[in-house]
Amino acid sequence: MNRRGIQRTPWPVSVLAALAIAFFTLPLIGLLWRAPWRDLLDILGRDQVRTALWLSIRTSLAAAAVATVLGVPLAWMLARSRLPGRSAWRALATMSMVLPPVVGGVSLLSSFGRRGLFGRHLEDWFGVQLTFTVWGVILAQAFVAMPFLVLAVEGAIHQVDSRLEGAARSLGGSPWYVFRRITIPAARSGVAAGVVLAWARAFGEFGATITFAGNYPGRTQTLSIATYLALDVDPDVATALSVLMIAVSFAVLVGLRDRWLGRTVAPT
Amino acid sequence: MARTNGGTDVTLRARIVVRRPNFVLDVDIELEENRTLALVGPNGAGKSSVLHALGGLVPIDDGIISVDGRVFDDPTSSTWVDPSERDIGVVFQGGLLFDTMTVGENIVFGLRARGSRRARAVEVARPLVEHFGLGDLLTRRPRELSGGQIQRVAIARALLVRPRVLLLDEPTSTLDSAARREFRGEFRRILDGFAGYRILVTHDPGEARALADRVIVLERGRIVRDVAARDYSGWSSDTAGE
Amino acid sequence: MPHDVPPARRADLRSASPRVVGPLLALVSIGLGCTPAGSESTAESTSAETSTLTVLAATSLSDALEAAGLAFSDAEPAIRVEVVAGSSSATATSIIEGAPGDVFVSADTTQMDRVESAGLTDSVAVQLATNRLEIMVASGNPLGVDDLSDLAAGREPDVLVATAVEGVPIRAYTDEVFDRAGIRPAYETFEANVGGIVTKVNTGAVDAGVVYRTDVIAAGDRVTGVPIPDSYNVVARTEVVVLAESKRIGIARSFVDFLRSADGRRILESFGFETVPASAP
Repeated sequence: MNRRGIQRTPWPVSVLAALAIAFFTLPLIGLLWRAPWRDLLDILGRDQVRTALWLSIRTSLAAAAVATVLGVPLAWMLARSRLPGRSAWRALATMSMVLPPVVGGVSLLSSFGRRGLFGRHLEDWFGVQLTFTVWGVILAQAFVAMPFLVLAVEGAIHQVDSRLEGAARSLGGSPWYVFRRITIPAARSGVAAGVVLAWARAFGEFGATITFAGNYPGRTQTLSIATYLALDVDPDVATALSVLMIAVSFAVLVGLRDRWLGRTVAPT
Repeated sequence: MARTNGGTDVTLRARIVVRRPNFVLDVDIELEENRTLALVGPNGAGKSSVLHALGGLVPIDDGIISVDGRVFDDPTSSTWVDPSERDIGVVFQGGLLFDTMTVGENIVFGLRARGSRRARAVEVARPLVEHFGLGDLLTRRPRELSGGQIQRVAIARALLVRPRVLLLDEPTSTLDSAARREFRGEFRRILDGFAGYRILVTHDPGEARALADRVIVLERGRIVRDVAARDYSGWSSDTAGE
Repeated sequence: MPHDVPPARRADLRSASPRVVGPLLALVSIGLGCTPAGSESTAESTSAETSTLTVLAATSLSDALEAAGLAFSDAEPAIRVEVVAGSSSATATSIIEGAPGDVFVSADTTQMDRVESAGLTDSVAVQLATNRLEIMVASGNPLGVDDLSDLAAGREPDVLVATAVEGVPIRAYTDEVFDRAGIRPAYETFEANVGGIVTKVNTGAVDAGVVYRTDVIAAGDRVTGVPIPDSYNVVARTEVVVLAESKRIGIARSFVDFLRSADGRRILESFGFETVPASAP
């Protein structure tokens, strides 16, 4: 341990960081130790598993897209506009992050469920039902995932020098032009991080989904719901599905890290 | 390079009052075209605020700003013209190039923002690019440029949309002294070749004298001197240059 | 005269900022102080004060068992009965995984068999009560559901039906009922336990669900029950057993006896269960 130079880690930091690593790694090790390796491929190849995985991927991507399209403009408004009561809006937008997901599910049910405040009209006027459909899954996932994106993007936009936007406006750029050609590109690594975060949250989402969209294999049974239910019936299957979910998440996060998230610190 | 105005009222009038918690800016400036005005003064005197108000980046609390008889900002009658429609080109301190774009994209930004197609914008920009010798730098990124190159790009970018007013905020402050001296000649030529209103902010009295025709000295938000450049030798008789 | 600069200190325990160490120690002691619900009673079982009896019960019985527990405490003031509710399958799994508890009450024999096969019971499980199934619909039966055939697939107008996932007792019972009636049901969602079905009907998310009669009674005015003909209906056997790992086997056995006594049976019947005298197996 004879490092040269002044960048030495203070020992309390090393100890606590090691604890933190252990905190994250030990459960994974336990899971891998418990996993039914012999039957793993067999279990994962089952139709129900593949259906649930495919559904999770589709819905989480769609939810991330919804969160991005709606969340990025909101983040800009919170960061830049002089809207009155911004902190109240911010609290509202990020509330579903603090609440237990089931509460999110109950809220969605009360508003968009068949007897919900708005849902009943959706049913009567348009014949549209969101509960127990794929759209319900996407809605529930977007509801819990969006705050993460809003916070990340708002932070990123704050970091963008507003004088750049001033320069762009003085050159003749309309606010929308400046937003898409200057602000968002300058904030892109924060936006990317927000999108990935939102996707990850949507992929793992469970409480709001099962409450609002229910559990129907092929239509609303996501991988996280399948894992939860498998636990009561066959813990081996639950473990196998857990390994699958971790593998997918790991692959995405590691794969994207350098390409998208690593640009926060540009090497000069 | 810049167009001249055929109208009757060819003046830039700026009565600017900006109130902040620790600071009040209260100036009254009238400028004719084809004259370079230098605003000098210590840091915090309000020089940059004048430029920002003229450029529409900061609204004034009181007063009136008009160019060629066209009112840009008048709180009493709630008149406000957006920065994008003021025909004012600003060269910011340090250039303020968009580093998510290439040098070429920076230069044509103004035209593209107004709806020009890329090919057309490049065509229109060609003479300017050649004049400033930026042809080899077009595909580079701003972070690869030297201080002097950045300033040239910033000026080209501002001039491309043929503004009526050219504002320069501390144009040589990011250059080392050798580049600064080298640039002075070039800047003089650029300014003299720009037929419109020209305002330059600097804290260097020598630069003010070399580049401007008229000098206004600001201190703590007020005008304390207004003289011809050749009669200007420093901030005040008993203050040394910065 | 420049002031003296103290020499740089090497890291040692004294230099570790008290502002970090303090909270850290606090966290650790809270962690050590937290004990899982069960082992708390380990200490208490030897004391002369109240001891807590933990009953792991199927959701459909939790209300009845809580009432029974209160009555039991009236007779035995030193004992407090705590009911932990969950689907029988989830509860059985957790017992097998080592969850602490004194008594297990299951809504069917399958889950009880699982726990018995794992060798975790004090003795052979005995029947506690029986339950029947009923169709639960929204209060006032707005869609006019008359019988099981109204829940069939492809029926107009569409009646949304919820049930439980496979493995949960109510699901097996429901499948049997539909089987006997010769009807194929169409399900909208598969819940984790019977409580989930009740919630879906309650909130109007679905129109109907097949649940226990006791659930319909417990939901009161919020729902309406539609009876299932006896010829199709099943008898759901609720079973009870003392768990081998219990730290207070004596008290647990007493509680089971109480449940099967006339007093206990009266309480269960008040909730809608059917019981038989204790002499029956």
